[in-house]
Order: sequence, then structure tokens, then C-alpha cells
Amino acid sequence: MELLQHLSLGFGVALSPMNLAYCFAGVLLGTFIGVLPGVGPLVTIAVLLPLTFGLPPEGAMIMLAGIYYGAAYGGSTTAILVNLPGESSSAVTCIDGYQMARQGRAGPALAIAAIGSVVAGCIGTLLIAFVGPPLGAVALKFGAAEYFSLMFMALICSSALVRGSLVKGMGMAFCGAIFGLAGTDVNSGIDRFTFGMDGLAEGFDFVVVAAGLFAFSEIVVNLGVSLQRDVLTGRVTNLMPTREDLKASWKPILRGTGIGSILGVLPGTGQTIASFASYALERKLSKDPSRFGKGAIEGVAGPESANNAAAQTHFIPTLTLGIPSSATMALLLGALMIHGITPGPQVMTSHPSLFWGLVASMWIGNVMLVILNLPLVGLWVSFLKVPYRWLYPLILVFSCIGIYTVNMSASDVAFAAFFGLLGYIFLKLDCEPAPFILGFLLGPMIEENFRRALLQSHGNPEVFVTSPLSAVFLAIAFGLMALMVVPLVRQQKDQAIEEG
Amino acid sequence: MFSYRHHIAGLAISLIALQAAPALAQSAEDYPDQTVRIVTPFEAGGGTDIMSRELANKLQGLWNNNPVIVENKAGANGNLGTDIVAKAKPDGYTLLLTTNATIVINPQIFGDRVKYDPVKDFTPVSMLSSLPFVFLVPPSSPAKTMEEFLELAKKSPGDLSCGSSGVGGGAHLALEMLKARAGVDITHVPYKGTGSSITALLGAHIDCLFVSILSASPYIKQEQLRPLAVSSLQRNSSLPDIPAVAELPGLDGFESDLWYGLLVPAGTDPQIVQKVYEGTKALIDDPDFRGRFEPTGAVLVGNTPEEFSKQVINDIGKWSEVVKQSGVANQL
Repeated sequence: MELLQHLSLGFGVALSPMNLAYCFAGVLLGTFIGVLPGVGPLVTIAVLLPLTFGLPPEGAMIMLAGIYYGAAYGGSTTAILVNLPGESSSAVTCIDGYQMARQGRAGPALAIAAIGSVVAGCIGTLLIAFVGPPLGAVALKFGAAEYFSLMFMALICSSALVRGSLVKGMGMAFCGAIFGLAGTDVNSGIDRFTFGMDGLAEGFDFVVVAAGLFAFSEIVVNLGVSLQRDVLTGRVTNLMPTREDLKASWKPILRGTGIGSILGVLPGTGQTIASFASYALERKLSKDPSRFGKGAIEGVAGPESANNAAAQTHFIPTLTLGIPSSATMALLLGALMIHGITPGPQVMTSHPSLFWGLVASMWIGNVMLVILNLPLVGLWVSFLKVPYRWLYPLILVFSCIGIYTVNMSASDVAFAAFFGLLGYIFLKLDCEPAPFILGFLLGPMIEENFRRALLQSHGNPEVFVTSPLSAVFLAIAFGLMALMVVPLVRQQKDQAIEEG
Repeated sequence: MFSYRHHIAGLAISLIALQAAPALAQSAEDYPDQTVRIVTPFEAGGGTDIMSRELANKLQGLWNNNPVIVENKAGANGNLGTDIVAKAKPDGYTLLLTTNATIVINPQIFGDRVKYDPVKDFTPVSMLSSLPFVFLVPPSSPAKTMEEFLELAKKSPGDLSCGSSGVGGGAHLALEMLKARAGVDITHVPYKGTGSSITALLGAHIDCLFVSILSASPYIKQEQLRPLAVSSLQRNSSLPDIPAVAELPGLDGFESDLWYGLLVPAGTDPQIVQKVYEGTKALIDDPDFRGRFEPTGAVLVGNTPEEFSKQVINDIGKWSEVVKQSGVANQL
């Protein structure tokens, strides 16, 4: 059994004392920032990205991944106890989770969220192990034309599915692409948009853009908002869910896992969409939909499982195709590249210890999270009392040190400040920065593959439709664009995201 | 593994050393009595970086633990770091470990954007090693030998495509030399880095590729890619069955390797140059070092400053022909 061999290799890597420590550090930090509203995994990974430079790639990825799925756990704690989504993906959990907490059933709500998450996390990880290798083999068949169409579809999907208008989402994606194009052109070797600055010959560093756009701007925006907190800590008494709770939850957990796993693989659909889709499904299937919004345990079990499953299966396109399905995945992709590993189908064969070590570490991490989350819930809640006036300067200083050490370049810190300003303007204008970062990463790749495909076909654009795979991807992209123009669909999408 | 702590500690030591250094010029007998820095114009973790760190350790050991540190000054295809050394004081405390890219190739293809003169601004010390490229095709390719491949290319000019790690890089120039010498037309398809070009070859999206033996060997061992020839003058000890391109009729003298060399700013005291050369030679002759590097396909050289100087001049002449014929410079 090849899979068993791979998994034993993976566990060998993941169970080494150093990697266990990285995994633990990752999930601990992830839970911590997940609990805190306003500081998400995106910000944290952006801050820590340059610091992982000195770690071996396995340790770096295990830790960063831990932060990512750990945050999905921590976010639910805040959602249930404070009615504030620690993460956007746990927004749905607020609806029924907080109601359960008000009814004195915070313990079972937290427990079901954790159980759902661990089940979903384990199944999602198993999927990576099973689906990853065959998908990697398929990916080798992807030529320039197929990559172009796939990335084009990914960019359209992710900009179409964000909150707000399609035009804004696309605008942000294109804006990101323009910044991404600065630097040396792959096809000709000519410098573009560098204004003669040596510091821009290699383009904007991904770390710089990410830290500025997410960490800096987020801090500035949050300074202007006073967060009101009503912490229901006193009411966490009995953690154990009743037999009825479990009976009501196991089906939603499995359904949520299914939805989340599928949506996680598709580029552009985030955890938020997955958790909302699961909530909507549970409400539809329920015998008494009116209970939803009033503390229905299915409304916690389903979405929490869905968002965690999606968090895991997001790794499939990222690791096997090198295509990020969300902004956080784009950051993890950046981490791989910092370590000189080209993401793509050959990661599994050329760096098996990295791939399988990461997969195995997710299992271990998921188990660690249950231990961290349930007995220690009181501790996490107390972190909610850390004043932001301490937290924010710390994040800011760490970010600047991190950015500086990537290239030992002071101009990078200035560039990051520029992107911070840009990010603040975007947020004030109600423009989502997530499509920007995806555009920044995907835009240059789209151009590169577009021109490569034309170079190989001697300028004949038919390659994009004569390849069946490419044609399907393009059809989906244009179909989605057309769909978004239909007012009814758009309204429903906005409603879905607003509710979520 | 590259460690930041190490780097920052090194930086701190160098700052202290700089402040403590006497202002007067040093005589060659005292050399070195302050921190020596080896500037490498490429990123940490790459080939030049690894080589620099090996050399730094060796020199530091030979020179009574006088600190020798590595500074990565990457950017602008290596021109940035090379320019820093060109403008550094010729006192023997700034060394440049670079490849033929910044000394031979870039000045010819980047024109005005290269702000140093590769001959006038540097004194070559020694060529440490050369890394030959191996010419690969996918297993599905009808060509079993280099002759067969060139036949195919002649039959349908422009139809075959060849990848590279980037415009103006070693793999691209090896292709241009092959095109010029063999008189064939192959479409050049640049990729972003060696890794993605290998992936494209694995999927047979391109027909051939020059890759360093080091990067290619796992794929050759697993028979995922077929090697047809090596770009060095002679066969490589790690691939003894694979002929050199130069063995083919009409292609004698074909050589397109990547080399790693050590240079100092022009005007450095010849005695200091000699001392640095002796240290470098000691590294090249170290059996432990040879044992680690030779299996990767690297050919360890360690020639004298005179030999290396001659080679730099020769290489510049050889490549100017290829660059002119290929029109690479006009693309940029």
C-alpha cells in the first residue's frame, strides 16, 4: 500500500520533536488569534512569513498551516461566547451558538463545535492524502493553455464571490494584477513598471504586499472602531453535550464535512461560503426550521464542520496545482516559494517529506486543538481582555522586523507602509483586499501562461478552446460572470454573504 | 540550512570589527586582521550561497579564526551584488563569489544597465567549480540520441520548443549556443525558474531543456526524463554514459557550463590575492569537500589567478559571438 508508506513517512516527519513543537506553536497561536476578533490568520501568517525563513521548510509549513486551521477553531469560541466572529468563517456560528450560550448551553455549543471541527478536519485531511496524488498526476498534463484558463477561472470565481459588486471585486483583482506585473517580465526579460528602481527589479515582494495590505491596514481600521464585548464566560459550566445533542448533531457534522470538503477544493469559494451553505442546508432539512436562530445545535454543528473541512481541503489545489484557492493559501504558497520550492505537481514527488509531513501534522494538530480548546476555554476567553493598545504596536513592530529581514532592505518597509495605506483606502471604500492579493499572485501567472501558450502555438489563439480542459474552465468563468450580471442571483449571493 | 541568527550575529560582529579596525591600510603580511566578507550576488540557499559558506568556513579555519562572513546581495540578475564589490575598496576584505552570469553574460546582454566593467573592475582569483548542463528530453520523445534530436529539429524548423529557467540565464544561453553551432531553429520558451521548466518537460509541454546536472539527476535516476548530452567539453563523471555535445561531428569545442568563481576588486595587493587563492585551493583539495560536491555533477577546478583571468577573457570573446548571433541582447 503506497498510501500507507507515504503516511508513515509523513508521521515520521510530523512526530519529530521539533515538528511537533512547530505544530503545537502553530495551533496555539492559531487558536489565540482566532479567539481575538480583528486579528485573523491572514494577518498572523503575513507577519510570521518572513520569520519562517530560517526554519526548515517542513517546520515552517507545519506551523503556518497550524495557525490557519487553528484560527478556524478559535474563531468559533469567540462567536459562541461573545457573538463576535473571531473569523469571518465563524460568523454563521454566531447565529445559533450565541443563542445557545445565552440559554446557558455554552458548554455543549463549544463541545459540538470542537467535535464537528475535529471530525471534519480528520476527514478533510484524509481527502488530501487520497485526492492529492491523482490530482498531481493530472496536473502534469496541464500545459500553458490549461493553466491560463484554470487561473483565469480562479480569479473570476474569487472576485465574483466576494461581498459587494462584481465590478468592485474584478477591479480589485485587476488592480492587484497591475502591481504583480512590476518587475522583470518572464517572457522577454525586460523590466516593467519599475521606474528604474533597482529594488523593484524582482517586483514587489509578496511578504511586503501581504503585510501592508492585511496587517497594517487592519490595525489602522480597528483603531477607529471601538469593539463592544459582552463576554459570557460565567456561563460555561457543563461542557458535555447530552445524548440528544449528539444525536441531533452527527448528521449535520457529516453533511457539513461533505459540503466543506467539496467547496474547499474549488478555487475562489472560501470557508465562509462553505459554512453558510451548510447552515442553509441544515435549515432546509430541519423538521422545524423556526428553531434556527434560537439556539439550534445543528446550526453550530454543520457550519463549524463545513468551515474546518474547507480549511483542510483548500490545501489540495494549493499543494498539487500551485494555485491558491484563497488569500491565506496565497500566503502559504508564498511561504513555499520563499523556501525555493516551486509549488506544483512535483512537490509530492520531489519533497515527499514536506507534503506527507504536512498532511500527517494536520491530524496531530486537529487532536491538539481539541485538547487546547475544550479544557482551556476559560484561558482563551481571558485573552479577550488583552487591550489592543498593547497588541497592535507589537504586531506592527514584528511585521516591520520581518519585512526588513527578507531582503535586508529598508525600502521594503516603506513599500509595506505604502500598501498599508492602500489597504486602508480599500477598506474605507468597502473594497475587499482579498481579490487584490489573489490578483497580485495570479495576474502575472495568467499573463505568463497566456503568452507562453501563444508562443508555443505560434500565435494561434485557438489553443484555449481546442484543449477540452481549457475550454471547460473558460466556459465556467464566463458562465459565472454572466450569472453574476443577473440581478436575482446577485441579490441572493449578497444576502447569503450578509447573513454569513 | 541557512540560519538568520548566524547571519545577524555575523553582521553584528562585522559592525564591531569595522569600528575597531585601524584606519590605515594593511600590509599583506598582516592580512587578514579584520572581518572578511564574501559577497554573493544571489539568494541565500542557492548554489553560490552554499559554495560561499563552504569557502568562508575554510578560510576562517585557515586564518586563525579571523571572521569570514557571507553577505547575500541578490537582485537584478546578480548585477546588484557584483556592482557592490566592483566599487568596494581593493583591500582584500571584500570578495565576490559569483557565476559567469554576472561576469561574462550580463555585461553583454544588459548593456547600460550593468554599471561595472567585468575585466577592468575585477582581479580574478580562482574558478572554484563548473556545473555542466545536461540536455534532457521527455521519455516520449522520438529522439534517442543528440544526433537524432538535431535531425528532427532540422526537418521542421521552429516546431520544436525548448524551455529555460529564464531569459538570459545559463539554460537559455546554452540553447542559443546550440542553435548557433548546430544551425537549427528551436523556439525558446522561458519559464520562471528551473523548477517550473522541469515540470513542463515532465508533462512534455516542451520538447527539450538544458538543466544543471544537480537539478536533473533525480529525474534521470527515476527515468522520468532522458538525458541526451552534457554541455561540458568532456563527459561528466556522474553520467559517464552520456556523451558531451562536443563529441558530435561539427560541434567540437562546444562548451556552455555554469561556473562559480572568486574575484576581488581590481587593484588588490597581489600578495593578498595569492593568499586568498591558496585558501581557495585548500578548499578545492579538501577530500571531505570533494566527497560532498563531486557526486552532484560539479567539476571542481581551483585554477590559478592567471589561468582564471585568461579564461574570463576567453569566455567573454566566445559568448559575444553567440549573443550577437542570437539577438538576445536586442530582446532586452
